[in-house]
Amino acid sequence: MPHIELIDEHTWRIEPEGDMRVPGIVYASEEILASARADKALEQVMNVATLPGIVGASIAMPDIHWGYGFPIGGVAAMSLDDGVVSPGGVGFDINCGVRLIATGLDDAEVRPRTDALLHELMRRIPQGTNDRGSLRLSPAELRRLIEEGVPWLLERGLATEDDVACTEEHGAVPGADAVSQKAVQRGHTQVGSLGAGNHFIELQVVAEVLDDETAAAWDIRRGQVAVMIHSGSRGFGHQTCTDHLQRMAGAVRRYGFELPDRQLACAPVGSPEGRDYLAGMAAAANFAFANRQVMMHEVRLGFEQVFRSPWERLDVRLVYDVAHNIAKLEEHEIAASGVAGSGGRIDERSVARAGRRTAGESSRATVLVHRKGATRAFGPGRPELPPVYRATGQPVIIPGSMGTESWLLAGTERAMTHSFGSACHGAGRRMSRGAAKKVMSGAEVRADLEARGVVVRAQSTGLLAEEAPYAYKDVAAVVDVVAAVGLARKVARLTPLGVLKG
Amino acid sequence: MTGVVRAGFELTEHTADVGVRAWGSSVGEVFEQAALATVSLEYDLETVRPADATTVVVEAPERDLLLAAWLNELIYLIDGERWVFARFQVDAVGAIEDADGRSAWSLRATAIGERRDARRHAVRTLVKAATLHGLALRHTSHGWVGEVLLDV
Repeated sequence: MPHIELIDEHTWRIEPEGDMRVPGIVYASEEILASARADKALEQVMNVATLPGIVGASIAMPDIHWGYGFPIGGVAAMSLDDGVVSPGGVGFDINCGVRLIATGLDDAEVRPRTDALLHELMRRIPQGTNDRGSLRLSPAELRRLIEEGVPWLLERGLATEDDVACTEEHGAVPGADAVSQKAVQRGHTQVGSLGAGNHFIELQVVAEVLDDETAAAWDIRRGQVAVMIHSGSRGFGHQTCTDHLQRMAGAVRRYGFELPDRQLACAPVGSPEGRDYLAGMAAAANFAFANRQVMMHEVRLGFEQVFRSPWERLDVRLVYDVAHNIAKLEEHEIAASGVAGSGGRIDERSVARAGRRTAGESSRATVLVHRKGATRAFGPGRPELPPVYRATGQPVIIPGSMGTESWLLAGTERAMTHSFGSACHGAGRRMSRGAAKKVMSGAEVRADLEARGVVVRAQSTGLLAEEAPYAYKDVAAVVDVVAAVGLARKVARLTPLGVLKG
Repeated sequence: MTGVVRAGFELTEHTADVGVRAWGSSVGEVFEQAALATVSLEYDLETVRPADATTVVVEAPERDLLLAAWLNELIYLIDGERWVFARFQVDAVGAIEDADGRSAWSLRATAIGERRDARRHAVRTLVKAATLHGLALRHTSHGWVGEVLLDV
C-alpha cells in the first residue's frame, strides 16, 4: 500500500517512492479514496509519476478508477524538453467527450413530446453497433474533415460560427496527419453515429441553478430543456490509438525507458513516434468533434420535425463541447501548479526541467497535458475561450450515469494552479458489466427508469443492464469533491426526460 | 504439436474492461483461443458460416506484443472490413528478422468466416482494442498461457 496522506480538504498526497519522479495527488473524499484503494487505481497514479518529464504531480480526479496504464480520471503534464507523450494517457477513444445543447423550450412544452423526440433522434442518429453514420464521406472528404475539423462542416451547412466558437479548440486541433488506411476504412462510414457502451444522447431539464450570475451569463435557466451528447471518435480513434501504441511499444526499449506497465508505452514528445502520434491524435480528435457536431445537426432537425418550427426559432444552440480523453499543448503557470498547493511544494528540479519558458515570465511554460477521463476546466481570462466564457471560466460538462443527473460546472482559477486546468469527467464505473447484469435485467432497468419518469430507447436491451445507474458511482459525490476543492464551481444540475442508448 | 494440454480460454471481468486468458500446448493454440475469446464477446459464433477465409500476417518486436497485434488485426477486420469469423488456424509463428535486421516475431494465420450480414449476425458489442496492460505470453508446466486485457 502506498504512503498516502491527507494534506488539504479532499486532497491526498502520495509521497514519491521507488522510480516516482513526482508525487501523486488524488482529489477524493474518504469514501472515494477507499474505493480507489480497493482496486489498482492508486498504483496506476504512482506508475504515471514514473514517466520521464512529468511536471508537478501525477494527478487523479474524484471519479478515479482502475483503467489500463493511466487511471481513469488521470491528469499528467509533460515537459516538452525531456517529457514523453503516451497514447495510453489519452485512451483508445480519443476525444471521447460531451456536448451540451440548450434550447429555448421549457419542460412543460417538451415533456409530452419526449417519446416523439426520442423516436426522431433514434431514427436520425445510428446507435450501437450500427456503424453507418448520418454523414457519408469519401476518403478524400474524410481527410479534409480530420484536417480541418468542425470548421469544414460550416460550408456544408452542418455547423454555425457559434458552434465552432463553443467547441474546445474551436473544433480543430492543429497538425492532424499520420492516419492509417485502416483508420480511414474503420471510420469513414461512422461520422454522425453514437456508438455503444457508455455513450448516450439524453434529453434533459435544468432542475436546479446553483450560480445565478453565471447561469444568466450563459443563458441557462431553471426548467429549460437541453440535450447532452456523449460520444467519441468511434473506430477511427480506436484504430489510430492502436496503430501508434504498437509502434511506440516497439520503440520503448530503444529510448531506454523502464516502464512499470506496457500500456504506458511512450516516446519523447519531439521524437518521430511522439510527433506522429500527436498528429494522429489530432486527426481523431477532429473526427470526434465533427461526429458530435453532425449529431447535433440531426438533433436540430429532430426538434424542427417535432415542433414544426425552424431550429433557430427554437433556439437550439451549443453551450459547449468538451473533450475528456485527450493530450493538449497548453501554457501553464508551472511554479504555481503546486498542484500540491498548500500541501506539497512542487519539486524544484521538475520545475527547472519543465517545458519551454515564455520569455520574460520564468514560471510560464508550454506543457503537454494528458487528460484520461478528465475535462479541461479553464478558469476566467484564458485566451482559448470565447468572450462569454473568458469572463466566467469555461463550461465543464459532467454527464452522470444513464438516467440519473448531470452537472454543468464552470472552470476556476484554482483549477489553473492545482490541476493544470482540469476537473472530473463523470461518475466513473464501480461495477463490472457482468456484475451489473446480475443485479437487474435490461428490461428491469428500463422499467425502473420509466417508473422514475425517464423514457428509454436502446438498440440493445441487454446493454441497459450493463449501463444501469447502480453500476456507476454517484456523480453528485464526485462533483461535490471537485466543487469543495474548487477545481470547478457548480452552475446547474440537469435531470433526464429521456435517454437514447447504443 | 502434442495434445496433452487441452486448449481453451476464459474471460474475466474488470471494472471497465474484459480480461482474456487463453491456454494451449503451443503458442499457436494460445493465439487461436485468444481470438475465439475476443470474437465471442462480439457476436454468436454459431451464426457464422465458414464460407470464406482471409490470411492474416502480423509482426511485432516481441512475442507478447505479437499477441496484441494479432487480436488488434482481427478487431480491425471485424470493425473495418465487416468480417465475422468462426474459426482461426495459426499456420506459422516464430522469430524472424525485421526489415531493419532487428529480431522480431511473426505470425501467419487463416481466419475463416464470412462478411457481416445484418440479417443473420447480431453484433452485441464491438471490442475497441486489445490493450498492452498486463499483456503476457509464457510457458508454464501446463503448456502455454496468454493474457490480454480488451477495451470494450
